[in-house]
Amino acid sequence: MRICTETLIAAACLAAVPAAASARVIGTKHNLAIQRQNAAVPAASREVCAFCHTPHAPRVKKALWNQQMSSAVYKPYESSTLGAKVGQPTGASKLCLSCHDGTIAAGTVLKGRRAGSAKAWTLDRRKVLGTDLSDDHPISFRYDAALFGRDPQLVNPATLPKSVPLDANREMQCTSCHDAHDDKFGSFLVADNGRSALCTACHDMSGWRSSAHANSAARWSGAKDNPWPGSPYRTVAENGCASCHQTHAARHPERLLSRRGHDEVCLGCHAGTVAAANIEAAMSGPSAHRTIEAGDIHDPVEDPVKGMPLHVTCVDCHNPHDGGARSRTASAPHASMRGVSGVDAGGAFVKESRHEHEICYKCHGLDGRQPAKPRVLRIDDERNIRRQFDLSNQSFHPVHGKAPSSRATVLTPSHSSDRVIQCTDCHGNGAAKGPKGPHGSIFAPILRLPYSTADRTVESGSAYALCYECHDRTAVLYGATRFKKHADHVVKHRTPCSACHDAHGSQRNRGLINFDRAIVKPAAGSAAVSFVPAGRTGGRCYLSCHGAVHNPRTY
Amino acid sequence: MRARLCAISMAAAGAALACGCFGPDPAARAARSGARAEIVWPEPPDRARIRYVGSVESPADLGIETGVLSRAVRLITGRDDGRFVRPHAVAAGGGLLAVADPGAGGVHLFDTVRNSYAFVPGASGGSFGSPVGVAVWGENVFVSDSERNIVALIDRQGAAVREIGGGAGLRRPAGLALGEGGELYVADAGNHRICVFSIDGAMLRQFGGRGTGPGQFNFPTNLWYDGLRRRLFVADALNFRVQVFDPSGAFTGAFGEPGDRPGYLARPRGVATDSDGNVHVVDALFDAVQIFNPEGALLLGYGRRGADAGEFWLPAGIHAGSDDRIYVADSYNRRVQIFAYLH
Repeated sequence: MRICTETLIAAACLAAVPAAASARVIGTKHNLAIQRQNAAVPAASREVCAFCHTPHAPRVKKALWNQQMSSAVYKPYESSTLGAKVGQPTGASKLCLSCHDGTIAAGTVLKGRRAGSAKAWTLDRRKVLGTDLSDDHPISFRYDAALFGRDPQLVNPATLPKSVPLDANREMQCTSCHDAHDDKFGSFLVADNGRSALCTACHDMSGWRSSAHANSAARWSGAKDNPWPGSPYRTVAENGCASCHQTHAARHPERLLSRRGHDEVCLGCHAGTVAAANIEAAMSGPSAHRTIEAGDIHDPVEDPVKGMPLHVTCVDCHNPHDGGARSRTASAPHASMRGVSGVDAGGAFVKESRHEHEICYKCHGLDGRQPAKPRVLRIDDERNIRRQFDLSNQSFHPVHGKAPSSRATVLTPSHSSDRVIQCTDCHGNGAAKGPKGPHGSIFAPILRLPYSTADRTVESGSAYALCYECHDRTAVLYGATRFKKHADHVVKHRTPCSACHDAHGSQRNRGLINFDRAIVKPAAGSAAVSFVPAGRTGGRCYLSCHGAVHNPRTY
Repeated sequence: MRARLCAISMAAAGAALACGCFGPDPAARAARSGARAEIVWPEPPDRARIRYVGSVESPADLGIETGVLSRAVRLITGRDDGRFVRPHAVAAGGGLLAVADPGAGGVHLFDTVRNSYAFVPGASGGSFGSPVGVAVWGENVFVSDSERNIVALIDRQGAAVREIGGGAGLRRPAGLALGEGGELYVADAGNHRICVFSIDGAMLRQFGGRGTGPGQFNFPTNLWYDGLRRRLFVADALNFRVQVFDPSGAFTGAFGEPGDRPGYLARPRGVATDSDGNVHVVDALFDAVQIFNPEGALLLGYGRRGADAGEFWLPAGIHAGSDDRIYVADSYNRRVQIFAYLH
């Protein structure tokens, strides 16, 4: 093979290239020459470049069938962006992909061996998404002011660091993150990616810098599978984006997640493996938000008001990129739920929830569709929980706003009636230890404390512990309320609180009175069950319960 | 002085490049004229040697109707029914067109005899990680998986038969070719050698080794066996040449050198011979196919960078049928283009 002439020409043209580039390649995998070159032998090192930098051919070869071909010269790895479509790599990326196709070099670079429930032989292993290299980071696109205007979670291209270059056409290419000559950071990266410094050079997710995932020093406990196989970093903060995302050959192509199924991405660390709280265990309770059933339905741009299939995944309530400290009002979401969309008290979709209940209303506050049937069917059968708490109702637990009257509530000394409560004041994990949120509980429906709704329950401090946490038991049972017959009904006749009271709100009656249809029946001859207030503190009940007819009974 | 010559030739080259890499391009001329003109290479007055026939992007292009079964296939493979993601290798025989698609993680089998389409995501050992080579021989379809380092044998319907080469220590097996008597040549790219297996999976012999001399390789990627002339062609990618062997592995000749002009090779990929023994070599960086005569002299080049008919974007594998139909896997245009070689 006559390589000498070509080498001379290559040398002449490479005279402009700093000798340092060729010297660095020699020690790396991109040194494709047969004899491992000694860096001290400059003449031989030119051969290393020719594998990617096609040398200029010195002679013309006549094409015997085509007289006009002879004078043509190629620009093998330069490419005009004119006419290139999405999925057609341009510029330097074309050169990389001409070897990284699975034959000379790995086709999908950095193919992960992440653990997950992906079965070895599933027919839907790859989704054919469209025209892009779907499971790899996108390349060959213009990263300019227009793109930055459309996507505020990107860094302004004018302020990109010099180590992350765009090509001559202001496009992002393989060469923005990789320098094929230099392997000093590993994987031929242009910069060290500890704490995801390389990712965050372009990606500016709001709230990231103060979020738990960016700052946590938590390590793998050794249980189950290593969430960061092949990574040199040991803590969550150092792995940064790589805890959930995979740049090449991502298991879950949309959003380049490293595991299939949104909840698997989270449970890789939040199942007693890295994070302190074991969410997976919490969700295995009899009453739970079972995220595993959602599969792959979740779409970050979904709008529950406009219509979406009801589902719950981790990211419906949590924003893994956010979690920064902001001013905390009484009803603001917990730090782990900042930056999450919601449906406000009026029923409108909001991009960032200011109140915790707005997050819950994405599923529990919709008209016409509810994720679950209520445990107790009531006279006033409003199923939309958002409407149950509406401030125009006759009575309500103060979630949307403060309650108007304070005397009827008989709260325990540690609670003040001049406050607003949240969904998670009642709903949460029933276990003594474990994560506090409403992931799952032994008490249905995902309650923090026991709350019996069965008729003939024997009254005790623990039977209605949820109510007694705020409403003083002695005061309720033994006379401090307007209704003096609580002990008679609850203790003597063993009626549960829920027979008469609705824990959320009552549109028609004060005192959260909204009878349980299964326990409270209409009195014979009377049209329906009803409660009519009598004066400021009294009332009349028209109903039949435990065989006792109230037609009416007055207090 | 040399710099000035360099600049002048670059300017001339730029002018030449402006009108297409292989002379005024027939595809461009057809597009400009607006008429559905025939796309041939070379342009008149030279005698036409290659004619563009069509391209395959999905089963419908081959007249395979999508019935109930195919609707189920659509559900499994995703939105685009049978659409290629990144086709890398192509093989045809007996009415079957097989396309290895590492982007989709499997092999597409288009059977124009039974009028059926199947997408095969895996074989006996599991799903395909990186199916980059395919060969067809009667009822047998061979698929090389450069990630799992095996060659899978499946039948025309896609059912797995066996795996070959598991114990041979293959490292990134890529190109496949079928020799006489059902011998399977496998380009073991990572080990820089060619392995020969029997159809039962026994390794018969191997030859090669890393080097620049005759019979040595630096990442051999694609293979082609010319049954008529009993010659094996090997695309020796990083030696920028095509080497020719007899069936036993004895070296008989080579041609090619690196360069950026017609007649040189920049990133040679697929190689095939037509019925006259001319060697078609696909070049991924030129986005074209070059034809050499058996002595290695350049005859013609066809194709240029682009997405229209007769244009390529990082083309990969090539297959020349006995009917002189030439199939080229046009990977980043997500299609297989078909040309006719005119005697």
